[in-house]
Order: sequence, then structure tokens, then C-alpha cells
Amino acid sequence: MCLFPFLAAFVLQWLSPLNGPHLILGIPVIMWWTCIPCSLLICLFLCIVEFTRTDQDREEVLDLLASRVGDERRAAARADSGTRGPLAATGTHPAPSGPEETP
Amino acid sequence: MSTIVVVTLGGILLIAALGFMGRRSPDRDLAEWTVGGHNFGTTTTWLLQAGEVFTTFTFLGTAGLVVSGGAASFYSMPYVPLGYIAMYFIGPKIWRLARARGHLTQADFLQDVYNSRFLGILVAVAGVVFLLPYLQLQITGLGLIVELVTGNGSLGNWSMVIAFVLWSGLRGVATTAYFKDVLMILMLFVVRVSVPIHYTGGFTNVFHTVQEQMPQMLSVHGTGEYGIPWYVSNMAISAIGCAFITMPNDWPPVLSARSSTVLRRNYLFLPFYNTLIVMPLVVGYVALVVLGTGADPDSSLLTLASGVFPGWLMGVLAVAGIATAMVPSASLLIATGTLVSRNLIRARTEKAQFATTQVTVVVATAAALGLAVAMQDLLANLLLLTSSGMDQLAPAIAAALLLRRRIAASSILAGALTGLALVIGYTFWWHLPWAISEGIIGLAANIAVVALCEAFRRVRTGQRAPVRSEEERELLRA
Repeated sequence: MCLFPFLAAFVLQWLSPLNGPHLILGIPVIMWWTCIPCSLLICLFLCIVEFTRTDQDREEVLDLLASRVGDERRAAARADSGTRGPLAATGTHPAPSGPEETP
Repeated sequence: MSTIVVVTLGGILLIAALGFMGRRSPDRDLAEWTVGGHNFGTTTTWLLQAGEVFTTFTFLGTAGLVVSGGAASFYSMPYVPLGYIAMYFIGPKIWRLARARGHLTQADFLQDVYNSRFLGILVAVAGVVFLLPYLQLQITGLGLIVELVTGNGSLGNWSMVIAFVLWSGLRGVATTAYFKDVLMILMLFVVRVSVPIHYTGGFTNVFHTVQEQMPQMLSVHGTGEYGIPWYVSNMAISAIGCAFITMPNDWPPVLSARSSTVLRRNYLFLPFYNTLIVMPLVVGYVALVVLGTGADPDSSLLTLASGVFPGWLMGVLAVAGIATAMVPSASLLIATGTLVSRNLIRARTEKAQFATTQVTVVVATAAALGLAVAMQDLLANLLLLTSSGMDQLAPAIAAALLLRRRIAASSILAGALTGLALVIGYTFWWHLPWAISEGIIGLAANIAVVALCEAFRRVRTGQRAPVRSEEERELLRA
């Protein structure tokens, strides 16, 4: 369903009836199809996806997990700053997840 | 002192007051200054994200692009909504991983995911270099408005931008974003209604006149400048940039959200908001009819409005334009400053990091001012150059978010360097075939190099790419 706007955006200008010096209701035809399928319909499609999906609870659980892990990491960094100096105090530097890879 | 100057000065003071009210005391914490402590709700995040889209490019650049390229300017309408489709799915993944790992910048994210400091540095350098044309775009637009008000170009307003960025960080930008978006849309609506009526007798009359006098401006055709390859490739490169959040300044609004649900709800309705870009496009067609193709494209909207509006209303229009330049500039400066302090200079203490960020804000503004004087270009082309450069990070971001196995940093680096070299080469020295976006050429080569390097690495070492950590897989739902 979400592919339709992409097709509209990248294919329609190759079709001369949809990409010529024509006006529909006084407005250029290209303005219609860039405005309606490529913009307004996307709202509709995304709303259908959002309000019919069944995994919203799962998303919220993952959000809580991310927040908890982030807060713990930050708290650990703050606690560590007492022994390692102020660098670790923010806890916002990405922690290395393994040996660094050289290019 | 004329009415327009009085109203504009009053508006500038109001913008400054709003910026300062955003934060009663200067932030001391870089995470607070950059991403608002990951605590913004739906409305604020919405305005920050919309503010990244509605910039001087929208206000002045799109009308100018109609004067230069006619219907090819319509590429600017669908690319952001197309990008939102992808962002709806990948925005929450980015938010969760960044929230858990404490990332504040795009470079933090890629450095951590690929476990390569060199990649972090490359991303930061690319971000700083390719954001400068976008900052230049805002400066040029601001200069046009100041010239309209004072009669000559002045760069003094930039001291105010620097002051409020340094003082209030993302919270100041968020507070001003409310004012900026409301005023900009109101004034675009007023311009969109009054300018066609005044000059051509009505909205649809504009298009009938164009159809009679210059019908080629109502369609995209041919393979030259502003032809179909130009249209398709620039729409693609802009949509890819939006979809994979390749611009560093788009990261703070995403990371500042309170939860991924806030982000998803934003993406539902942001495409509708984006349709408002049709207003400056219509004004661009009026400029085409009234001023002709020889007019200065970027100042066409202001020129038309000055022939219709009384002094006080021109003052309000100038304030809207100034706010539209200042808010995105502040956001760009925050992104640039944070990239330099965290990923390039790598200051050792929080205080040093914060000080480096603030010095960078001043230096980056001066560099963009220098570019605005030395390398003038159409506003729309500056944005396309930024997108073309930054999109070379799209394969890295896409692979980080969508693949179950981790691609080697060396393959990602080889691809990104190839893509960036091609973009720079086509921008300064080489001729583009069919006016295709240099970003698309770079991206195609980039992806091919990543695939080849990764295949070669696997054959040579006989090892498959490593699987991600369990925590990472869980947060990315990979």
C-alpha cells in the first residue's frame, strides 16, 4: 500500500497525459498528482497502518527498555566520574561495544 | 524610520525574547542543550521536525525555482512525504538505540553501531562540510530580507542568531519554532491569496496565462537542466535523505522525542502539513508571468509582495522570513557544533565539550557567511548539494537499521568515501550526464563499492558478517 505514492512520484511524469501543459479545474495536472497521491494519500496510508497495527504494546515495552538502559548507563557513568574524572559524567559518549575496527 | 523598519525591529526583538524565554538560564548539560533531555512531547517534536522542512528554501527558494525551472520545481512537494513513510518505520528504531546508548549525534550513532572511531570522524567531517551550503542558503535568504527592509545587505542580524543559539540551545529553537511556523504559514497564505489576485486577477488565471504564453513551464520534459532525469533524480536524492535521516540537523528533533510513539504520531500528519509548500509554488508562477524568466529568482516573492502590501504588512512578512531563516539556522548550528565537539575535537570534559560547541557555532556562521559572499548560487541548488553529500551516509544508516548482520566498517567507509569523492568531483569539475543529481551517481557507486568490499572481505577471511548483540537486535527489532 505504501508503494503507491512512490509509483505515483517516480512513474507518472513519464506518462504524457499526466505531464503535459494541461490544466484540470484551472490547476496544472502535475500539481494535482504531486499534491494528492504523493502527499495527502500518504497521511491516509500511514493512519491506516498506525491505527490497525497490533504491536503497539510491544513498541511501548521496547521504548521503556531503551529508556531504562539509557538511564542506567547514564547513572553508571555519573557514578564512575568520581573515580575517572568528569569525562564520564554525562554518560552520553557512545560506549564501545567491542574492540575497535580499523579501516 | 519607516514603518517597515519599525515593524521588523519589533519582530526581531520578539523572536529574541522567545528564544531567550525557551531557557531561563543557559544549559550546562550538552544532552539538554542538544536534544532537550529526550523529553519533548508530540507538539514540540512536530514543530521541530516541521521546522526542519519549512526553511528559507520553502519561503523564498521554491518560488525562485519555479522562475528558473517551471514545473520541475514540483519535485519539492512529494519528497518529504515519501521520506516520512520510511521514517515512520525507522525513526522509532533510531530513537530507541540512541536513547539506550546515549547518542546525541548521527556520528555517535554510526560510530557506535559500526564500532569504528574513524567512521565517526568521517561522518562528522561530512556533516560539517555539507551543512555549510544549507547554512549559506539561510544566510542568503536572510540577506535578501534585510536588503528589502533596509535597502542594503547587512549581516548584523547574525549576531542575534549566534546569541540565541548559544544561550538557549534546542529549547530556544523549539519555543521560537511555534512563532515561526504560525507566522510563516499565515504570511504565505496572505501572499498566496493577494499576489495572484492583484497581478493576474485570480488563482487560476495565473495558470491560464502561463498555458497561453509559456506552456513548457507547466510540464517536466527533455533531458537537459530541469528535465525529467533532473526531476526524478533530485526527488529521489531528497527523498532518500529524508527517509534515512542523512542530514545531521534532522537528528536532534528525532532524538529529543519522549518516546517512539511521539515520533510515529508526528509522521502521520506531517505529510499533510507539507502540502502547504504549494503556496510559494503558486507565487512562483505569478512571478513567471509578471516578472518573466529574467527576474532574480530568489527575491521574486519579496519583489511581488512589495508591490501589493503596505509598509506594516511588508514588515510582518520580513519578520516571518527572518524567523524562517533563523530557526533552521539555529538548528543547523546546534548540529554542527555538537558534531565538532563530540566527534572531531573530542573534548575530554563536559565543560570543554560545551565550550567547543559554542565556539564552533561562531566559526561555522563565519564560514557560511564567507561562502555566501564567495560562492553565490540559486537557493534550491544549495539544498540539493547538501542532500547529495549527506546521502552518501544512507547505505551506512540503512545497513545499520535494516540488516540482521553487521557490515564491516571498512566496507561502509570505502563506499562512503567513493560516493563523497564523486559528489565533490561532479560539483566542482565534471559534467553531469542528463543533469542527473551528482548525489545519485555517488550513491550508486557507493552501494556498489560497499557490496564489492563486503563480498571480497567475506571471501578473503572466509567469515560471515558478525550478528548484532542481543540488546541491539531487540531495540532495532532486527
